[in-house]
Amino acid sequence: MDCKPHAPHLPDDVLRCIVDRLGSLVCFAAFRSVCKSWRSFFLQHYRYLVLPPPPWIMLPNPDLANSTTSPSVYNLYGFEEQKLCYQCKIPDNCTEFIGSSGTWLVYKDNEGDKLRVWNPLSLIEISLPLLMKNGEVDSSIAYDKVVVSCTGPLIKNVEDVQIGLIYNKGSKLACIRLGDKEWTTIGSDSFPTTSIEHNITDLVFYNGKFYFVDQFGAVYVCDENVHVPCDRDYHYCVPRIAMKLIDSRFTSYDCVIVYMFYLVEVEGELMLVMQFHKEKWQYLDKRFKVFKLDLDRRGKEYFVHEHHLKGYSLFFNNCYGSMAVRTVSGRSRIYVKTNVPDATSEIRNHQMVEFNYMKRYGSVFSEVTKLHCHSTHPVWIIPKSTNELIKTKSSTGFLGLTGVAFLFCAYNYIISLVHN
Amino acid sequence: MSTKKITLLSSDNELFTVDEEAANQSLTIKHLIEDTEPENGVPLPQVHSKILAKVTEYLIKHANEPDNDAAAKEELKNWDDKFLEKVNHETLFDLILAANYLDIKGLLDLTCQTVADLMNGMSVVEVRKLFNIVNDFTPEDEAEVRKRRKRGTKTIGPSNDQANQSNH
Repeated sequence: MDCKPHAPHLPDDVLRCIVDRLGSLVCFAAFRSVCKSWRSFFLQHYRYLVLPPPPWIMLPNPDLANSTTSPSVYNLYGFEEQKLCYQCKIPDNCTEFIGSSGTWLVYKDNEGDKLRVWNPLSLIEISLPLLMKNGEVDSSIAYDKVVVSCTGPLIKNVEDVQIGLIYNKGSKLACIRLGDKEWTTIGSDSFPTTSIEHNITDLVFYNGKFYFVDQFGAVYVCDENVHVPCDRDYHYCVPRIAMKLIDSRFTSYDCVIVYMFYLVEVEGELMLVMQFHKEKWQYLDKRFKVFKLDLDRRGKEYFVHEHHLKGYSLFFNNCYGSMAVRTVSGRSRIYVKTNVPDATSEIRNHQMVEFNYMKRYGSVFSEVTKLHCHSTHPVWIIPKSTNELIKTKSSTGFLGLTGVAFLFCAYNYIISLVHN
Repeated sequence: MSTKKITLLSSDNELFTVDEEAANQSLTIKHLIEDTEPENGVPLPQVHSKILAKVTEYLIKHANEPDNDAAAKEELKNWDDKFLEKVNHETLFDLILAANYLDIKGLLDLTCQTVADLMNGMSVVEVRKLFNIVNDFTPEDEAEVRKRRKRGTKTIGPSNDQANQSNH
């Protein structure tokens, strides 16, 4: 019978006792979103735990970065403000980060290179099964890109979360539902899983399905319910069938050489981004065209020229991440990470280029700043789309750690960032 | 070793007797005894017998905290875990308030940790349910916070100047 609200009357020192023991950023965000009095209490005493607007970048703690052991503590910086906002400890069993998606990081653990997904905001950690090949553990896997369907830091139903994976230099695709015991490989007649020639350049999770694009700009959708005309022998067809949606054949578009295709979700729309350069091997002269994919007009024309991105975008030229993010300052921006082959060393430099977006037909971006980044391969964490923000706001609270982008890369990068 | 008994009087006039050593873990009770030397028990008008029974159970168990005995420490930790296992949320908050009022650091730490663990991984809605709090943010408040967050300005609450000043 007695259901008086206890908590709002908890004295401040008791609240402090509780807040001091909360473990994760999600807890802090939830705490300050509970009611007005808790919010003002939190902002008075724990303002430093309010993260600046996304995107964020996560880097090894500088004090520990030069030690020989792999760093265990990472700093979280606000990308726009370039100020340290939080320190987090990565799991002990993490040997190497291999990718990021939404607010999730994917890493290899020290127990037989198992894949694990980990969320630095909620500290949730989930282990994934090993990839199998002919009934045996496939030990020679090079991971290209990992996509987690759930971008927010909390998981409601484990079965709802799907993970997609490009591996072995874009030649293979697999997906899994959390809780499943094994991965499912994805294939179709135009995209056999056995093909080594095929090169998948990007994979996204959009509207409940995985979409991917190959090096020719053909876009596919992975759909269990798709009916593919069955006039061929589908010996390689696996439970999931990838259907070719479009075949853009952009490789000779405008007499330029297309360097890479990406799929990016921008405010609920799926975009195909084409990165090209006028002359082969001229890596620095990159230009972009952005197309909206019109998925309703299946069978006819799938492209609509999109001449502005309605916000800001972040995407990169390799399989490690295409991302679209709405940043906060009133400027339109695109961040691109390019791989610049270095003749003198085996290590590839990673160049970060910030583009100003010009609202001109054809979406050409002018280059503004170049930020250099060497050594470790940067891993970017893809933000949550605005679309999902709306859908989930009731459950995660309005402050939600939604719309969050993480950026994760080498320590060197932040130095160049600051110097610029 | 002191075997002096202390009587505690709950808000509904129930008496609880504990060793002085156990009672002294509560700084509030210790000071009350020192200052007032009560004859008919230490009056604790803010604590109901139901809660005081739990509190005394904790005080008695923790009266002789082991210093270097690892096994005993482990046993005590297990006891702590069990102690709050069957407690419902309402009682838990009452215990927190009692621990705070009676100034029992160990019990406050334990109960707050339990609450923090409960909150771990909860959404805002679930936290409100746990604490039985009504959302008093208006849709306008929420829109304002979202807008500010998008613009990258500071969130509502005390101004940022305060924080800057306190850094000096």
